[in-house]
Amino acid sequence: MLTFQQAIQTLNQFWDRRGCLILQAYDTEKGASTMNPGTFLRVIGPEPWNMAVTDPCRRPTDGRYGENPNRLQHYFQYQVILKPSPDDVQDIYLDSLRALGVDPTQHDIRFVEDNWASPTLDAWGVGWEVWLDGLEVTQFTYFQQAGGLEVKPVAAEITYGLERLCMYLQNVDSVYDLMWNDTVKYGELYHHNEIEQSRYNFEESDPEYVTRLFEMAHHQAETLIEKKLVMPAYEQVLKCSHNFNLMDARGILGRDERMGNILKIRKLALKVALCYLEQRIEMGFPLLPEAQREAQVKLYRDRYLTAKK
Amino acid sequence: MTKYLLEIGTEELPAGQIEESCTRLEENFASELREANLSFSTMKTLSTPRRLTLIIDGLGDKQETISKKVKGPPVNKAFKEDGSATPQAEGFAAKNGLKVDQLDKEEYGKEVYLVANLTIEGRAAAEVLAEIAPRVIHQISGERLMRWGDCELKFVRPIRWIVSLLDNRVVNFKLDQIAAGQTTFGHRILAPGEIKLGHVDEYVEKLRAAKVLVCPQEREDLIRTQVSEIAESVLGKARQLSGPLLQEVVNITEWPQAIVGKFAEDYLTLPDTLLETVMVHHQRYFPVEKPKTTTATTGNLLPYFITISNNDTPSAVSEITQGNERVLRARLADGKFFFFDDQKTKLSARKDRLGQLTFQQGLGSYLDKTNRLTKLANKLSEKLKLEAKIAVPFERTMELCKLDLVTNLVGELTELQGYVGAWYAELEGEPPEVVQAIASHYSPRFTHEGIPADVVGRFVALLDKLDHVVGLFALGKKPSGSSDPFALRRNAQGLVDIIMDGLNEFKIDLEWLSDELLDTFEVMLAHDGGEKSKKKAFARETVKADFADFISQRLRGKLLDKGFGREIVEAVLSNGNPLNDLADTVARCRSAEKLFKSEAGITTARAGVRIGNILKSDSPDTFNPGALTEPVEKELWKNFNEQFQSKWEKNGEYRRPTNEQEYDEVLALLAPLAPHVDKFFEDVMVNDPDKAKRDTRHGLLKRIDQYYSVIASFPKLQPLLP
Repeated sequence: MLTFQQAIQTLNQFWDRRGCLILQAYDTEKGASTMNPGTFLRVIGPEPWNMAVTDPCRRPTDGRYGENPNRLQHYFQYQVILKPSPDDVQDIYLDSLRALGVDPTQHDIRFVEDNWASPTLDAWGVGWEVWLDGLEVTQFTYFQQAGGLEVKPVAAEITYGLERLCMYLQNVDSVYDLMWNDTVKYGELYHHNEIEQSRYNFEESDPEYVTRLFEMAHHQAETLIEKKLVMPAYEQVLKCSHNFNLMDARGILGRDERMGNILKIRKLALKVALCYLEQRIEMGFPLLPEAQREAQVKLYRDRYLTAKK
Repeated sequence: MTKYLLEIGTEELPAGQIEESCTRLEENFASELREANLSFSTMKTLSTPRRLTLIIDGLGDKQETISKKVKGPPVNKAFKEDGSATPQAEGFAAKNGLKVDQLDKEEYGKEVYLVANLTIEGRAAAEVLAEIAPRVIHQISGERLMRWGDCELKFVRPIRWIVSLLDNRVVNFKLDQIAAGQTTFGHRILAPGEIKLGHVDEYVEKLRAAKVLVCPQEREDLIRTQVSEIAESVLGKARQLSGPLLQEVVNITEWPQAIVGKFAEDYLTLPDTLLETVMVHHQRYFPVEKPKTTTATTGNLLPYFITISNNDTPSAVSEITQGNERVLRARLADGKFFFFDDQKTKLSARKDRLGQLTFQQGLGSYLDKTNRLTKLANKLSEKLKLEAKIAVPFERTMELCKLDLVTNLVGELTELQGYVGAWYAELEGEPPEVVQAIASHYSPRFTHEGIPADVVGRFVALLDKLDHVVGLFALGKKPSGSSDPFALRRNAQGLVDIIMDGLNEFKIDLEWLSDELLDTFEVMLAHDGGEKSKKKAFARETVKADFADFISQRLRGKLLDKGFGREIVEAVLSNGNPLNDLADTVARCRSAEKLFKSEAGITTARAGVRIGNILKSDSPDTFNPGALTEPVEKELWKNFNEQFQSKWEKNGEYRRPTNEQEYDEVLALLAPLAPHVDKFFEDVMVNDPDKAKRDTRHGLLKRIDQYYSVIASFPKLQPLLP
């Protein structure tokens, strides 16, 4: 039986052997690993990109005070990006399950239609949720658009729900009973965190404070975009998004205000995405094979830089 | 007989799009073949989540040979004086691949022209198919298309292989980077290898050997049989064994195997619909019910579920069962938690939250909707003089019926809206009429569900649906073409069904109701808000006309569905204002229809048609009986008076019949008048040149016609006369 940390190691080894960068978690709060710049920004433009990362994610409204056996406001996603998406991407994915000790011939594995869209990031894709004996263990998405820009070549995004998958592997009904290693349980590490953070998210966060954080991050992001500081600007966009989620959890958003804020974040995300693309064009798409760089730079320059002026 | 096989191998397609894609594949291929003059005898499609397949039988070897005539230059311009051909004639011949002496001469009009009589040999089928197949593949993709990898193609899901076989030969073509061939693939997990097809006829059986049932009907039959048998084995009956769930599982499996699982009996204390929704909508399981069920909301299910696995390996069954049982357990635990947690907050304490839930941008929140419809319920009750046992629960339901939208359980399981509100209302001690109406007011929830079973629920549903349709019309969001994102057609149809089938004893005036709503919307949608705004929020008359038209179309369809003849429906809908009283519209249809069942009735109708045909819009409504001169006029008037005086014409005043019985009665009184009407038309000239005489005669006929046209426009019934 794999412990939680062994499952992560197994996936790291598996994707390492398949030529992925194994990155470390990104250190700003985000609702999903899709918001990691390794996904959201790197899928933009013509450069190839293959990576895997274990990312902590936060969804304040999903807090359940540690009382629900499978819902948390802080959890982990194992995120893989394969760009361009290989022809046998589903088979590779099935191999990753084999590596985790799941023999597909002894289970019922299904790819069930599930499309994804994020209004905040102006991004969408189509794909499936992968069912393992009726349990949704992975989201599988062919990224079609990010930050309003067409994703070309298309990136495959494979997102494993680590807790769910491990609950399955370890045959336990509560996330808190997962063995993190041979002796310490997931509950020891995160149960109290769930109780406290749920209280913070729903009861104790200062509405005025989180609102101000949102506004400040918004303002800072705009300034940084002006200065073409892509990464600092993107971090502020993520902070906007997280503080928006906190405001939402606290129930202090009127409906018009809610939509208004979503649109504000989306606008920033669009700008950052374009800024990032410009930066990569200027850098000459260093991840492309040398033979393709010149032509691609010209193509993108004509489409995105010249057209603007 | 030559056969052609086209298999488009894909990654897992969305279940809901497979059938439609097959239809398009078949239709588009057939029309391309007809266009290309390539004959075939039959065509069929097969499909699984990973393939769309077309098999054409009896395909011609080549395109039919076509004779074609091409007109050239006139003969007098085709030859020089020495008889040799002009450049114009040479050019024409060359263009058609002939020499000048192979051309014919034919006369058109008065001139003779050079003509090329061409015989176009058909090309071989393989050559033509290689052009058609890639074109059709491009045409069948559905609504939400995707790209993948570096490929330029767009399709519903990535295309991974293509089989294109004409009997035993490959018909080569390429779709971007994918070359068509003779290799297909078996079950993704149970038989993942390549399968080389030597002949079209091997297709179905070779795939069966590779654990793929390529015929959806076969999978459906198999699933149905297995599920029924398993349900019997646990002494129960499977639910949902027809309809959308079955269709979906057929389209998410290639090699189906039904497996039964169990859950803890404790959960049977939860409402059946809650258990069923979790099983069906979230897990695609078939629930199992007791052999004998009751109408109670709880306790009809057995603690089993049946899942359709895509894997029949015997050694896998126990793992698959345990896995599914664990998932369901977690889901039911969630449901149970919310069910009891929600009960800590009373429905009525949820109003603030409801105020934060937008109904439609511009039309306020669900709380606004609740408030305006509660008021309208009150007005409608008064207008219809509803007895308290309907009026009181009607208003109470209207107040409560949307509050469950802000419960956690509906947040988790939106399909349960209405039911959840009803369960909580019952626990809070609301009367049974209110409880039932909260649950039923969303009906019909899908096409084949009926209208609410209870009168109160019907009234609530009526206002709820009307508000939805009128509201979106006011926002300018009426459906166009096939696009109907707000389900206005379904709502309008529900509205008509409810009034006609469920509230026919009440005089429901849709025009009045929609006017009441529009008054509210006008204020809400006025550009600068306030009631004093002079700017119009929307063109009210246009909205009303569009709405009336929209409802009339549904009404017409409904009446035809009820079996009334097209002429009857048109004649009835032409007169009066059908939207003011739908039940009355049905009554009029019935009376008009009965008329054509007897000889006397037909004679009555014929007289009505004659009268209706001669009257003009300016025919006077009144006349002076003293001005009648001809005996036959006086005779008609006298008989009319005798028939109608006792009941309908007291003091010479017209009284409108208002229900089916009265319509029948009036038509019965008109029957003996018919011979007098006929005689009248034979003996006098209605449109007399003398205007006074003409007006008098029109006036007389108009008096009689009132009793006809209150029912229908009789001239429109003329085609029904023998």
